[in-house]
Amino acid sequence: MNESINLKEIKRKVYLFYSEDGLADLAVGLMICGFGIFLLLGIPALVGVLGVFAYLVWYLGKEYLVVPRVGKIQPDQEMKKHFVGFFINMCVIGLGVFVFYLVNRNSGGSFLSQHPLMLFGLVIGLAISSLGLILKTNRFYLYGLLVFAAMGGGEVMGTTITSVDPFLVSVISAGGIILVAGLIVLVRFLNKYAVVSLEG
Amino acid sequence: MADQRQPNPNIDLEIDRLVHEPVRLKILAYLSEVESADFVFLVSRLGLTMGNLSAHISKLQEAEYIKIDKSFKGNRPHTMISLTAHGAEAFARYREGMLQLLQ
Repeated sequence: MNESINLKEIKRKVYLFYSEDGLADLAVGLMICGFGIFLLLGIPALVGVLGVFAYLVWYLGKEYLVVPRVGKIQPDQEMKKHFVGFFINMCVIGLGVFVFYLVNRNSGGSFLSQHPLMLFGLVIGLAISSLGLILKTNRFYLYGLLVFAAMGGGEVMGTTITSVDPFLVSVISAGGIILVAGLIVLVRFLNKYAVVSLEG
Repeated sequence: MADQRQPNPNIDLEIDRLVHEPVRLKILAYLSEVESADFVFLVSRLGLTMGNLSAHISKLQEAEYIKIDKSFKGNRPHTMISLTAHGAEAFARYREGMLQLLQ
């Protein structure tokens, strides 16, 4: 019998552990969709708890759906560095963009300073795409692009259409698409892996 | 300048049979990519039964290539497996040996 061993494939499968269940997609989708819904409902204060809610969904999903099927790993130093680097980079980029906006908002000069929501969409889109980079999962690049297009496009459209808020509609739609994609990935994952019995 | 990665027909490679076995080689390869992993992770990735995996794990543990940490999560036992420095060295030596032999 032939046995195939491919170290690159093994590394890829280890990274897949973080994204093949669709829970990361669901967490991202919930945050984007919730952001739009809370703003639409006029309760922006609740946007702050979205991160906690998304983390809870991710954590409970991992504990009760994923771990019984594909087990658990502790990331090695390289992977930990990637995650820490991701959060530090996102904080630096977010702060940089915020400062850029504050400095330029009254000058009326650049296109981006006149469209802060597009700028915000760019940061969020970059964050989601970076997540795809460290998880080695291509669909997150599409999510990043989708969120940037929804926020940027929604804001530009918002200047011409006044009956509805196109920004919120497009953000909720983008979040909804990511949520549905995450659910599809999760259902496929649950169908693919059965719960592993610890008996002999 | 001579390429040091040229095939060497005179190489005398000492193969570590414990690592050379395909399933154990895969176990070590997976463990080399993480800090630690549990039984279920290895079963799901390797497509083995618990009994089969336990047999290979025991051999690797006897050679002190891996370390097993047992704990309880609630009322259920939970076992995490990690590569020891000795095991990581054996795996790296095996990889290097194979590269030298086959290149």
